[in-house]
Amino acid sequence: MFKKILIANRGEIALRIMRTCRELGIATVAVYSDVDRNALHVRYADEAYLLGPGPPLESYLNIPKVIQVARDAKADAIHPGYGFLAENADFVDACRKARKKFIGPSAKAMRLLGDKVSARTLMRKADVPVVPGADEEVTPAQAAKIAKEIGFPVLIKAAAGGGGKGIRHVSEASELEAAVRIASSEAASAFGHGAVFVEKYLSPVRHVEVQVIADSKGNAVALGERECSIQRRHQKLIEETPSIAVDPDLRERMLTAAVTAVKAAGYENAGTVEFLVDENKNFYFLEVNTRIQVEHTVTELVTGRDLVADQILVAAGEKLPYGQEDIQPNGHAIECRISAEDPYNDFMPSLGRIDWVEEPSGPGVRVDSSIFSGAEVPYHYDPMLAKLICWGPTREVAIRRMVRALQEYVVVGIQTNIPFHLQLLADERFAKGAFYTSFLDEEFEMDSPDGHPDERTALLVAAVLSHLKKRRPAAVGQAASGGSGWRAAGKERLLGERTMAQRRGWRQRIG
Amino acid sequence: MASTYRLTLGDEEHELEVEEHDGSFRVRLGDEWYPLELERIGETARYSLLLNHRPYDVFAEEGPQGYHIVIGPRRFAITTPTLVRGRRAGGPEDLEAPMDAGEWVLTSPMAGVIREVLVEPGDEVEAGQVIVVIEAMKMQNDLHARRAGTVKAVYASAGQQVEQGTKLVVLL
Repeated sequence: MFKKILIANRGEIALRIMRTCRELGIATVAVYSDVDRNALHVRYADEAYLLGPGPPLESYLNIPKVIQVARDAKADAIHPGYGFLAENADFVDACRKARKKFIGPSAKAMRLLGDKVSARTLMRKADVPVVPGADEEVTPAQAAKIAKEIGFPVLIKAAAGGGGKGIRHVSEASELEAAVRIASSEAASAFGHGAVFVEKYLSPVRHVEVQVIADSKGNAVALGERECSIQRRHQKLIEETPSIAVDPDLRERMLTAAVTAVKAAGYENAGTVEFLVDENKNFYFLEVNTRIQVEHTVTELVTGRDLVADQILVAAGEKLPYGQEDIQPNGHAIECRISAEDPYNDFMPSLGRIDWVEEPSGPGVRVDSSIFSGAEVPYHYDPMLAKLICWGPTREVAIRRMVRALQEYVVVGIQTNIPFHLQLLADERFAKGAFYTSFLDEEFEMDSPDGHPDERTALLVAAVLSHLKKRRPAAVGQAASGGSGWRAAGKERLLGERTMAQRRGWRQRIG
Repeated sequence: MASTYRLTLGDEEHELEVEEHDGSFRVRLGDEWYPLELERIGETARYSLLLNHRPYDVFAEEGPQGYHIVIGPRRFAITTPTLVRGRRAGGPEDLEAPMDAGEWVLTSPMAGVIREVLVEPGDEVEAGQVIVVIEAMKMQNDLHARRAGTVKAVYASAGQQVEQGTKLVVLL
C-alpha cells in the first residue's frame, strides 16, 4: 500500500480524498496556487507545496511542476480528483516516467475511452448503441456537412473533458461557426485540447450514468446508476440514485453494457459510463468519464462503499474486495451542488469573501465542502463550493431531508444557488420524476425573490438596527462591522447588486 | 419613546415605527404591531431573533446605504435614507443616469479575464449585440450592448484581467 499520496487538485474533492487517506493511514501532500494559500485542502494536508499563480495553466495544470513536487515530497502515488489533470493522458505518462502511481486508468485506456470520439467507435464495435454523430474531430466546415446529414439541432462538444465545459447547442447552420470557435476555445482553456466533434441533439432524454470500478486482475463491478437529468446548460446540478426512470430490466442492460465497455477497453480503476435514455427506455452511449466524479457520493451512500478508498486499493494492485453480487444498493440518495452563482440573476458568478458559513447536519446528511468563514472565492476556478448529499430509505424521505438541510445551510457574503435547489425540490414535476435533460433550460423558471414572507422579517430587523444605531451609535457600529470577519469596505457594492445587474440586462448567453 | 424609520426594500418604501421596552421591541409595519426580541450573538454579525415567539437566525451587515439582512438562503438589501449623505456610490440610480445622458458605459459585472473584444471605436452596434466576452469560473460570458449606439472608446483588451466594475466599453 502507498505511504504518501499527492492530491493534484483543490477544493472539496482534494479534501474528500485526503479524508480517506487519513482513515487509511496514508500521508497526504497538497498542492496549491497562490490564491489558494489559505484553502482548506492546504491546511488539512500533512504537507503543502506552492505550484504557482492562480490561473490553472500556471498551477493546477502545470504537469512538470506537479511531478517535481511529487518527487520532492517523495509521494508514491498521485490522485488527480476530477477536472484539471484528471483526464489528461499526458499527465498519466508523466507520472509513469517519474515512477509515481497515477490513481486512475492507464494512459492507453484513458486515451481510448476519455476521448469521446474513439470511445464512440469502441462502443459501436461492442454493439452498444451510440448517439448519431461524427466519429472524428471536426473543423467548422466539416461540422456543417455532418450537421446537414444528421439534421439540426446538434451539439458541438469537446472531445476531451466534461463538466459542461466546451459544449454548445446549435439549432441552425448560421450559428455553427461561432459555436465551434467558442466550444474549441473553452475546451482548450479548460482541458488543454481544443478538438471538438458533432453529435445529434436528442430530446427529450434523461441522462443516466453507471458507476464502474475495475481492478488489475480483470474484475469489473457496476455500482448502480445515477440520474443526472437536472442540468443547466449541460452542467449537472442535482444527481440521485436510483433513477426513477430505470426499471430492473433496463438497469440490468445498462450495467451489463457499462461493464462490457470497461472490459473491452482494458480499463482499470473507477469510471463512469454515461448514457442517454429516451421515453421508450432505449439507451444510447454518450461518453466515459475516466475519473472519480463529483456525484460519486450518492453511490457511496446507497452502497456503503468508499469509492476513493477502492480507487487507492486497486491502484496499489490489490483485488476488488467485492463482486457484482455484493452490491445491493439500499435506499435513495440525492446530491445538490452548491455553487457561487446567483439564481436570481441568470446564475451569474457571485465572487468575493464568504463572511460566514453554517453547514447543515443531522440524520442522513453529508456535506462535502471546501468553504469556511473568511474564505475568498477566486474567479479562476469552478463556481462549485460544496456538495450537500442526503440519504433516506425512500426518495420521498431523501427529498424531505434535502429540503430541511438546504434550509439549514447558511452562506453569508456571496450569493449561492441554494434558493434554486429549494424551489426545484418543491416542484411537483421533480417530485413525480417527470423531467428530462431539457427541463431546467426549457420548462423551469426561478420565482421572483420579491414578496417572500421573510421580507417583512428583514424590514423589522432593519428597523430595530436603525433604532439601536440612533440610540447607541457606537454600539451598533460595532455590531455591524465588529470582529466577525465582515467586510469593512466595499459594502456599497453589495447593496443593490442584484437590481443593478438585472436592470442592465446582462445575460450569460451560451449556446 | 417611539421613533419612525423609512426603509426601502426593492422598489418600495416602508414606514416602520419602533418602541423599546426593557430591551425588547415593538415594531409597527403598516397597521400591525409586531413584538420582537433581537439579541446579538457574541461579537459576531449574527443575531437571534424572536418575532412574536417565532425564532429566526439572522445575519445583519451594515453598509453606507443601509443593511443586508440574511435570513436562511435569502439576502435582503434594505436602504435607510437617513444614513445616506450626498452621493449614493454605485446605486442603481447611477447606472440609470448615463442611459439618459447619451453615453452608456459597459462595466464588467464580475472579476475575470477578457477573452474577446468584438468592437472597435467608431463601430455601430445594435441593442443586444455581444460586444465583449469575459471568462470567469471557467465559463465564457457574453456581455451585450444595452442599447444601439456608436462605440466611443474601448478600454478592454483580450487577455486582460479585470475586476468587477472595470470600465470596458463606452457607447455614444
